[in-house]
Amino acid sequence: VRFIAMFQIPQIGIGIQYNSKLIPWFPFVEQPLDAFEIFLDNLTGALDGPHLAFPGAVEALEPLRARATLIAHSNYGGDFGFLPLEQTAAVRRHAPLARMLDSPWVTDHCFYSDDSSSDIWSSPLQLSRAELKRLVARARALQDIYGMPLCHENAAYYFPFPGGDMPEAEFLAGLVDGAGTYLNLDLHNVYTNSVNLPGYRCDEFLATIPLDRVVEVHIGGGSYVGGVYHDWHDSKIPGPVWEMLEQVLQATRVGAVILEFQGRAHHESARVLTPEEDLEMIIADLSRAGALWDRVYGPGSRRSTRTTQADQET
Amino acid sequence: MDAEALFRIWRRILREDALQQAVFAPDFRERADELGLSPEELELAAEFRAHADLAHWALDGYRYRLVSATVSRVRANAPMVVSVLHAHGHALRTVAERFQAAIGWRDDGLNFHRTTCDFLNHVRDDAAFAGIPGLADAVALEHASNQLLRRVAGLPPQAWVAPPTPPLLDHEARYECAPGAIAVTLEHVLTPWIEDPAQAGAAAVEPGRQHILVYLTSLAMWPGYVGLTPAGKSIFDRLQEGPLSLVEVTALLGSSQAEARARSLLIRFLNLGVIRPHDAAGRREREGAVFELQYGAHWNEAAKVRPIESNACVDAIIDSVVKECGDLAGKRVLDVGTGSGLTVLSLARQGAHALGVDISEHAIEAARAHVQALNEEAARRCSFQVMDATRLDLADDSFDVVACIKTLWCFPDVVAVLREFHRVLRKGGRLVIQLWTDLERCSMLLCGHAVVRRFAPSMGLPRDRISPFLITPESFGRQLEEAGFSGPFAPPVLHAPVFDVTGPEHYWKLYPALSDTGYYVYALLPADIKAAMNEQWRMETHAWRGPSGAVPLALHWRIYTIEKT
Repeated sequence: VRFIAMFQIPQIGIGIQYNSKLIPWFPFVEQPLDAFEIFLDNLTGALDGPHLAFPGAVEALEPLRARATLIAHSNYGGDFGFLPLEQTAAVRRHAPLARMLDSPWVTDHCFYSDDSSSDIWSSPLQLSRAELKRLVARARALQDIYGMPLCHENAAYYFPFPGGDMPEAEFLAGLVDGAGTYLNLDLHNVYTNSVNLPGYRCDEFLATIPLDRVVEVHIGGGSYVGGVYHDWHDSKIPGPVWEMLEQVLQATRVGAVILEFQGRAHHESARVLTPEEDLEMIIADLSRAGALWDRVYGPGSRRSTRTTQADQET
Repeated sequence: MDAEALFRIWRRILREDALQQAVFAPDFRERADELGLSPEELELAAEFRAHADLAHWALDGYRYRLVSATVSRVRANAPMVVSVLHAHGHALRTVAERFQAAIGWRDDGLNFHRTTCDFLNHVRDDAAFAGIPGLADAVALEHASNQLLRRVAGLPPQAWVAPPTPPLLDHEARYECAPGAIAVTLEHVLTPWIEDPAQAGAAAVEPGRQHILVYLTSLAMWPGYVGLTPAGKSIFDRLQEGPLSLVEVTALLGSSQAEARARSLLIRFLNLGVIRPHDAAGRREREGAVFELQYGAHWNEAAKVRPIESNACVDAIIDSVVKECGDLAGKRVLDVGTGSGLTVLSLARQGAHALGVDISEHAIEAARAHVQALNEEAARRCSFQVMDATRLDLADDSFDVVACIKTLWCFPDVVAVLREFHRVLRKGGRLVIQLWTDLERCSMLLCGHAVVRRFAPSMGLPRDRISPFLITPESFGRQLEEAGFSGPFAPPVLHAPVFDVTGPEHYWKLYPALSDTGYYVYALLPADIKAAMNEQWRMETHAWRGPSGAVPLALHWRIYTIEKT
């Protein structure tokens, strides 16, 4: 009897988050992309209702599925909270939904929430050895339930949760090592923390986490408001994030790089993205990510370019 | 420093205005009593004071997102009320913010219908909205719709979804309300708003009493609305109090052509799936007979092809059950749906006097022969009988333990079977039941079923058999209570071992432990189809194959242990 499954990670390529703030105007299906990241929370039927999925929501993704791989992203699963795992949205809704999407892996967040959703983003994990022990067991059990690689996203936070006794990168390394799980490396979160938190260094972070466990990479942009830098996904991707992306791609073989654009979702001071001002910015960043990927991994290394090459050969 | 305790106090800081303002104030420590904090909580809350300069961003973000989430929940689940508020110049975000401030910035997570019901109550009670014609009725209607969804949450669809074809009206039968409908009386005629909720509020509605039936007949849809006549409403109300027959409905209508009207009303309710035949005793009798005829034959055929041999999966499942039975020395134990009889043997080896019952004559004969041939002392404590679990031919209070493995979902009326378990158990006796968890979690089951279904889509299943995966801890608790067991019940114990399966041949050897019916279908297929199934199995499991070539497959089940008090 083995308790840790081994997974093969397919190399997919470049994708964008299918974000509800952009859906009304961004031409998702017209982009030459390899993946769309889907928020499972936008498909989920109420926990206090009979629906597994919001009626019609999964079917509505068919045009995207026909174009590219759908990657499941879970915000509000309650993965790292204190409710018994069986009662969480992750187990009751997200695990079957991720299977319905044929997702190659699923990503989650390093925050606390219990039967709640807005706590997420405001309640980062306590980076302590005691919590590491608890969460290793929980993450391992959850990945087993998902039946696919579970990739934890490193968080951006305004202050470290009290009671921590180890650096974040060491905590994450311990988590994936103990649980047999993987990482969704959010480079903009690393950058944001390095701007706001004293002593937090991007290079140290990347040198400490096990890069061979990075399955997905998130890149995005943010804004300075009130003397603080915010991970609001409302601006172009900053230079240091591109530099880190190149460094990570060169160091390891990742499954996908996902761009995050969102606009006003976390605070009223965030920018609202509009087609007039932001369409070109998003397309330019997508194109830059694709060029960088091709430069590092080769031109036929993405889902979409692989198909094209095979067609040409035949 | 305990992370859970810190998270609990941080959640209070996120939600409670007074605590949020006080925690960063210089006199915080002096205000513990006023804030309702224990000395321990005070110390934990004080931990956050070190981050006063940046914490407000986390606090503001929480509330901003919570209001956005409320807007989104309410838009999806109460579109009519949202349109009416919008038409009268009330911005939804502002109303949602006021609502959240009133309920203490409570985060319901993905319990969307709870949020929506409470929001609708807030709109109903807020003086700012008094006088908007029809708003109170729209609130009542959408509240009923959300209540209905909350009511059927956790119930297996068989308990409330309408049958696929309209049943014929049985003159002898009495009918009861299914849980999938609620009747509401409105003081305005809301027909134009119901027809186009997005335009509600823009169109005027006229005063006038209107009865609406809110009903749900499919998981693929939202609740529907249909008008009721005053007589229809009064009959529906009476049906909610208890079952009625055609004759009784006719008498209640009591006017000219009452029988024709009663017939038409009952057929309409049946077609909507909001009533179903009651007559519990008669129905049980009839279903028992059907079970014996249809299902008895099915399991008998399945037993003919199933090998009686142990394997890693069988051992793991039986061990998990035996472990929960407690000290078995000298105990009288009943194993229902015993099949191969291997559970009975394991129980007897622990010292129990174990009786295995099964509806299949062939299974009982084979189990008996297998055990008798073993020539071991425990075999003398095993006995087997053919029996229908819905009508156990056993005395009341006669067993210390009743065990039931891989069987409960096979019965058309689970509660009737649980009632029998309750009856034959002595007071203080223990019921131990094994149920699979969601299919999605059992890669072990999932890959085999996927292959078998591809080659034999119906899997030979009796059509109205309950799926094992529809019995959830929530629904099962209700069924146990209905059968006479008293809660609260201990949460089930989850077992989730992973087995290394070397290939399809190995897998099909394990498969009888997972699915009698699936294995029956597999066993009957010709050799060339089986070869194709092996290929399909390799494809289905390709992504999970480890470096050694073996496929790690997970099997998840829960063991419920219930005492008869």
